[in-house]
Amino acid sequence: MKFFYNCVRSLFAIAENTIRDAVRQRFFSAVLILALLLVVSGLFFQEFDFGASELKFIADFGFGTVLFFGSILTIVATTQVYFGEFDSRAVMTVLAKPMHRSVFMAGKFLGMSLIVFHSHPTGCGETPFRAGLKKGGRRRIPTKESAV
Amino acid sequence: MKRSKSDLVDRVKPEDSVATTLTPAIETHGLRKDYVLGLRSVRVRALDNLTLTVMPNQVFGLLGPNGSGKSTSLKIILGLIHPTSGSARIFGRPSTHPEARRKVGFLPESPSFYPFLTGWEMVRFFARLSGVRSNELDERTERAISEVGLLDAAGRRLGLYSKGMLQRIGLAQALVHDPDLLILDEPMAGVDPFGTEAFIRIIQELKSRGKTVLLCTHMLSQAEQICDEIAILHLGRLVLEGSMANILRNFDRRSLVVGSINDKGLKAVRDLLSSLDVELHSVDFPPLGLEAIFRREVIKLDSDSA
Repeated sequence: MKFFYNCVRSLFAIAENTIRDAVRQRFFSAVLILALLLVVSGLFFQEFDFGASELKFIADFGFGTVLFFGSILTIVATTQVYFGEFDSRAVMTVLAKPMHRSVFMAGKFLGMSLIVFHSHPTGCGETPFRAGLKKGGRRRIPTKESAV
Repeated sequence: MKRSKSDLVDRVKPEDSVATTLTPAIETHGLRKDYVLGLRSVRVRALDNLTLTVMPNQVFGLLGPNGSGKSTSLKIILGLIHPTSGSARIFGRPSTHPEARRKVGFLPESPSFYPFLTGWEMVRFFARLSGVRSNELDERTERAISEVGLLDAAGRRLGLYSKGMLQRIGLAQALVHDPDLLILDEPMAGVDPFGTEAFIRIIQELKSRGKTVLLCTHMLSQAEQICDEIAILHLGRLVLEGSMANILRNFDRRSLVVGSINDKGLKAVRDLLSSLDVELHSVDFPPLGLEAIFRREVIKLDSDSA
């Protein structure tokens, strides 16, 4: 039981460390800020008429940005997650601690998964929120009735 | 020509060695490690039949030139790599079992840690991995960092640390869970004289607290100063093992220290030795040492004034 408890503790410690290590990298912050700026900038492009409704444009623009930058983050942040550790030899000190290698691998995976899943809902949540604001605001989406 | 193990290993056993029933801190039996290189699968033997025993409360020095297999031995002992054959045990448990490393602290050669973490966060992270209880984490972290004298720089990111500071913070993470066995791989490489002195002081303090230290180093003068036992590796083979006191004794020569002797007396001694077919290697004045001179002068002044 104690061994299982220690494994879980190590798993979360590694996951937490992975998140902290990733979010403090300048590239990560830069991509995240750029993505958020682009999502927000959808507001300024709403006057463009692409033959679709305003709400649809905001949703498409927001989700497209989230998908694009989410993919970049996923690829960049995860490709180096294991090899970076081996290259820098930081892994030696970690694996010399009382834990299985599988716990280390699982911890890194959990940390990276949380980063990726977190970055997506942040953007994904923000877009409907903004769309909701617009819907309740001054400019309403033209419905069939109002158009008539 | 194949040489037997007895040809290769010159074992110097301590004269006063006593059979002990204590479980060895580290025990290796016939460790062999072959690395397979390239597409042609060329085998390079990094370690050849290494059998070592490190008893508790010893400072054991693993010495040898580059490529002699020191770091490979440490990695096998820590369960980081698997031996081609042979076995290693830590406090009686197979080193491949994670629980065997519960009471082990390790400082790797040229340690590389997460540059985006601060010194405090890094030591705290390793304390968590070592199983330190949550309510003791901060206290243990502070104690370990203060022990290596880096409390002022604990809030700084590791990317901004100098090489010597990295070595010291590396030692802090190795000490944070109060291990019974400390394995240090070239701990004093790149450390200034003050840092080296601090390392030696910490190792001596650990020994006085009953801890065991396995030290892998090139710095022979420091090893001579702190090690109780040493083993010298070369080309993956153990060439010499034993207590420092016995190894430093030169059994091929003897020194006679005599009182004041004039040239005539010296010539007579030479003739006598020559008639006994004994070669006289050197005649000099043995150094007293600064401490002995200091004591002599102070005592002389005291007796004069009395």
